[in-house]
Amino acid sequence: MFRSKLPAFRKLPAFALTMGLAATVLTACASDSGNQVEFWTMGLKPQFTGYMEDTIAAFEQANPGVDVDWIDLPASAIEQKALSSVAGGNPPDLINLNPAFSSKLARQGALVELGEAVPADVLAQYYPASLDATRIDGKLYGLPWYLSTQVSVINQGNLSKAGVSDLPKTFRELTRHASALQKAGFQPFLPSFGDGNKLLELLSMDGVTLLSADGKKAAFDTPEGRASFAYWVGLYKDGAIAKESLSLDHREVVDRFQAGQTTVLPAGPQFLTLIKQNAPELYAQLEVGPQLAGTSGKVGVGVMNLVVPKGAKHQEQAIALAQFITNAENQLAFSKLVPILPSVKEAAQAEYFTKLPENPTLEDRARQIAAQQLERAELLVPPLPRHDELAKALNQAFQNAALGKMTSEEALSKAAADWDRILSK
Amino acid sequence: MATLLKPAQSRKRRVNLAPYLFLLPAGLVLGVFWILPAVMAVFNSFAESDFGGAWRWVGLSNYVQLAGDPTFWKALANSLIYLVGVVPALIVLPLLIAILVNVPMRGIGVFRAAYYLPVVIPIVVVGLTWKWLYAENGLVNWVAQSAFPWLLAHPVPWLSQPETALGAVMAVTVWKGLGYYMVIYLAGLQGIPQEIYESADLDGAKRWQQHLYLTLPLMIPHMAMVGIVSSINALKVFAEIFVLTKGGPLESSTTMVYYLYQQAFESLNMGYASAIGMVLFAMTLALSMLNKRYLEQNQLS
Repeated sequence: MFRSKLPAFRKLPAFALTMGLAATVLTACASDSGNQVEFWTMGLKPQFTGYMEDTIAAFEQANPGVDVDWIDLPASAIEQKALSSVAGGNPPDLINLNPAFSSKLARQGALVELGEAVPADVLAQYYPASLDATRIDGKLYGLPWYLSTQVSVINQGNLSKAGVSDLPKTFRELTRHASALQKAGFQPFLPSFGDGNKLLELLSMDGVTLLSADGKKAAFDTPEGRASFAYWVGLYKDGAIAKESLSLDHREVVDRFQAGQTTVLPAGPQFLTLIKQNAPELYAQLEVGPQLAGTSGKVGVGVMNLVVPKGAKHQEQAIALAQFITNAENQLAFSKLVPILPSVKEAAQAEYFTKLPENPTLEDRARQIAAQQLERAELLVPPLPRHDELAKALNQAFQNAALGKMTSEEALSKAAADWDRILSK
Repeated sequence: MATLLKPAQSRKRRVNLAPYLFLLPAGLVLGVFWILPAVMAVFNSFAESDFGGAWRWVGLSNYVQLAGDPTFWKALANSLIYLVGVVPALIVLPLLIAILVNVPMRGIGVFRAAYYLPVVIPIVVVGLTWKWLYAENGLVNWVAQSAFPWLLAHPVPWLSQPETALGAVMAVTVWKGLGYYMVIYLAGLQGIPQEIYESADLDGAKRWQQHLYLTLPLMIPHMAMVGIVSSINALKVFAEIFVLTKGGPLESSTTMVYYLYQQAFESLNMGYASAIGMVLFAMTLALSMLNKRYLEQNQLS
C-alpha cells in the first residue's frame, strides 16, 4: 500500500508543473487590472507617448489614489478588441472610439450614459455638432476628444497643365473641368466609395436628409435626394470619376493623389504632413482651400470619442479622466503636436488657430481654414441605427445605378424601401 | 494482452495519468479557445443573441431566414465558383512549376524561392500590391491593353465591376498558393526514383512523354491531396476578399465566410452568422471526410 503510492508521489513535481502551466494559461486570459483605471487609445504610440504620459501623470497627481493604465492599440484592432472585451464582461474603463462604432455599442446597451454624469457647464464647452456624434435618442454616450474638418488639398500642377486657372470651391465647379483634366491625363477627384460612408456624406453635403426625424424611415427619396443621387451617378457613368472609385477607400484615394493622378483631395490637414514626407515634389505644387462644397454648402466634421463601457469597474474615475483629457488646456497642447482640431470651443479659439504665423506654411494655412470651418461644421451623417446595413443598402443602390443595372430613380427608391425594411426590424 | 500485464496493472494505471497531465495545458487552450467556441456556435445558430448578454432561443428561424436570403445564396454560389475556378488551377499550375524547378541546375534554389515567396508575403501587403496592379492605369491594364488593343479600348476596372471582381480575386489566390503546392509536388517528384526515367530514356521516350506517362500517374496521389486541401482553403477564403473588394461590387465577390463576417461583426447578428458558419462547417466537413477516406485508402495500397 505504502509502496504503491510512491510512484505517484515521485510524479508530484511534474504534476505541479503541468498544473502550474495550465493555471498560468488560465490566469493570462483573465488578468485583472486591479485598482487601475484602464484607458485604451487608438494609434497614439509612439508619436504621442510623451504627451499622453504627461497628461495622465497630471491627472493622477490631481486625483490621488487613482492609477491609470494606458494601453494604446492600432486603429485596425481596437474595434474587435473593444467588442470582445465588452462581450466578455471585462471591458476597460475608458475607450477611444469613432462615433459610428460608439453608436453601435451604445445601441447594444453597452455604454454608460454620460449626459447626467458630466456637469452641464462642462458639456456646454464642446461644439454641439461634436456631441451629436454620440447622441442617440437624446442620450449622450461619449465625450468628443479631437475633431477634424477636411480641407481641399489641390494639385495646382494638374490644374495648370489642363489650362484651368481658378481654384474650384464646389464639386460642381470642379467637375465642369473634368474633361479638360482628363485630357491632360488627370482625375478631377476620386470619391472613396469603398468606405461605405462616402456616399452618405456626399448626399448630406447636397442638403439631403438621410433619416426621418423619428428615425424609422428613409428620408432621402425626395426631389433633392434624387437630384443629388443622379448627379453622382451621372458623373460615374460619364467617366468624370474613375470606375475603380467603387472599391477604393480613403487611404487608397490618398495614395492615388500622392502619385499625382488626382487633382483635388478632400482630407484632414494631417495628410499634408504625410504628403510632404512621401512626395516632396508634389507637395511643392499644392494649394489648400476650404472643403469642396455640395449644393448646400454644409461642412462636415469628423469626431473621435471617449466612451465608458457599462461593465467598467471604475466608471466615476473614467468619466473624470475623459473630462480631463478633453479639457481646453490639454486639447490645445495636443493639437499643437498634430494637425487636429480641439472639440472644446475655448481651445479652438486660441491664437494658434485664428492667427497665421509669419511666412505661413501650407500646414499653417490648412489649420486656419480647418478651424474657421469648425464654427459652422455639422455632423454629415448622424449616428444611424443599423448603420452598416443602411450604408450597404444605399451603396448597393449607387452601384446598381452607376453600373447601369437600374435607373437612378429606381435604385434610389429601392434603397429607401430597403432602409424602411431594415429600420422596422 | 490484459492477462499478460495483470501483475503490473494497478501500478500502470497511475503511471498512465502522466501523459494526460502533459496534454492538459494544450488541451485547456484548445478547449477554451477552440472547442468551446465551436460548441457555442452550434447553440448560437439556434438563437438570437444580442451580444450584450441577452440570448433568446429561436429554434430553426435563423436557418429558415437563411434559406430565403438571396445574399446567402449569392455567397454560396460565389464560394462554389471560387472552388471550381481556383482548385483546378492550383492542381495543375504548381505541378508544372514543380517539374520545371525539379531540374538539377545551378541556382535552381533561387527559382524555387522566387515561386515560394508569395506564400510568405503577408496578405495585407499582397492586397495593397495587387490593388495597384489592378488599378485603371496599373500594370495589368497596361499589359492587357498593349496585348489586345483592339479588344480593350478602355482600361478595365478589374475590382470594381461585378463581371470581373471575383475572377480578379481568384487570380490572386492562385498566385499566392502556387509556391505552397509546388513544394508539396516537389517533395513528391523527388520521391520518384531516377531509374524509371533512365529506362524510359533507353526506350526512346521523349521528355514530354516521360512526364505524361510516368510523372503524371505517379503524382496522382499528390494531386488528389492538393485538390482536397485547396478546396477546403477555397471554401474558407476571406483575407483576399477583405483586402481587395470587401465583397463588392453588388455582392459579386461576397463569399460565405465574408458574408458570415459581415453578419457577425458589422451587423452584430451573431446567431445568424453562426447559422452561416454551420452550413460552411457541413461543407468543409464533407470535404475533410473525403480527404480522410482518401488518405486511408492511400495508406492501404
